[in-house]
Amino acid sequence: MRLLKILRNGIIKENPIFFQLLGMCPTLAVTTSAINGVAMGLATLAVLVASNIVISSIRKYVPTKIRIPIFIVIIASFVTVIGMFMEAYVPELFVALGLFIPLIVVNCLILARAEAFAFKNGVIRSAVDGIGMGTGFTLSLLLLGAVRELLGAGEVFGFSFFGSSFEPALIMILPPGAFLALGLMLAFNNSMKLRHVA
Amino acid sequence: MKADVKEIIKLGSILLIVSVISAVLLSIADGLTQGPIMAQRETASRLARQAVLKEATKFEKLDATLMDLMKENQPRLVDVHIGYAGTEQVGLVIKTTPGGYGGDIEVTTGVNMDGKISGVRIGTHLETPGLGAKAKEDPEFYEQFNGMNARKTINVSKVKRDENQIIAISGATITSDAVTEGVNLAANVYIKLLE
Repeated sequence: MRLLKILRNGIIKENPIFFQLLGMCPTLAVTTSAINGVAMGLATLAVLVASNIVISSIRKYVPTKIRIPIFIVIIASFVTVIGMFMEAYVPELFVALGLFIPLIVVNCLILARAEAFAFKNGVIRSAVDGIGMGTGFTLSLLLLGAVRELLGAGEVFGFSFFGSSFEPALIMILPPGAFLALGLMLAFNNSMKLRHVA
Repeated sequence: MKADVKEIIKLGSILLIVSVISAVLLSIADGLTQGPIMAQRETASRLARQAVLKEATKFEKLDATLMDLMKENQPRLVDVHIGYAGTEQVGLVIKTTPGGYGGDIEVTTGVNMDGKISGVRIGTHLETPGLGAKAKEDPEFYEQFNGMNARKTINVSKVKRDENQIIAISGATITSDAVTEGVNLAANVYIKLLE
């Protein structure tokens, strides 16, 4: 039951993008299409679960003073390994995400979960936290990517939604579109929350 | 004072141990993936060569000394393959790496014996997904080069005015320019080699 709560926390209650506003760099940069969002989300999910497990299992031996450099070494190693395996076995995805894979190292979501959760909790709970947060991150990127792709290119996952007469708003897949889409979605989210309270 | 030194040594050694363990694991992962990655790149290059020079049934690397000579003033030239159909030479496939918006772009250009560009394909690149990355994915972009005269410089514009002009990808002018630069370089290499 507790584990389920941790999972739900990551996906909904403390969703990394819509509630914690963590990991904004990849969020804004890669969500030019739904597929890129999902791929980035899944790569981050894998790194997050792996680093959470390792960090929580060695937490008793890590001196508090040097925990951050140790976290970074562990996270960077997992990112490099995942990058290598992606290039070897899913080269198309690797090419599509390219530059953003090494940048997972500095995704503050991963460091934040290491610091706030894995360093203080057991292995299983940390793994579940990684799955929850990673899933929440992936779903948010998917949503953002789908909205931007729909408005900016007129399609989602390659399926055209409007007729050929639809003139896509190119700005939505350009960098400003990332801020517009995210800002509007956060505003919508907050208004829902306010209504809930009232 | 003494305690400080002791602590520094202790913290340093822990950090060292963690780093050594990750280095070992990384080298194992590297060993596991290097083979497939190389194979992957080689297959991609072979498919690209076949795609840009369809008539060819066999490709041979250009003679190494000649290649070094060509590369001398052209750091962006990667390699040249000669395409044969049976024993007859049907064209050249030239790989270049012009600098794009995110980094170098691998451009494979085929030129047939009539001096016409027979095809262009983009390999690995670091262009923006959804914008510059379209250069690789969108046939409407890279097929524009087909049939162009290798003896004339190709340029980029928003509207097509003459036959050696291509239309840029909207939102990705730098990428479009870079790919065109790569194709032009390949065309120059082709002319030099034939003369």
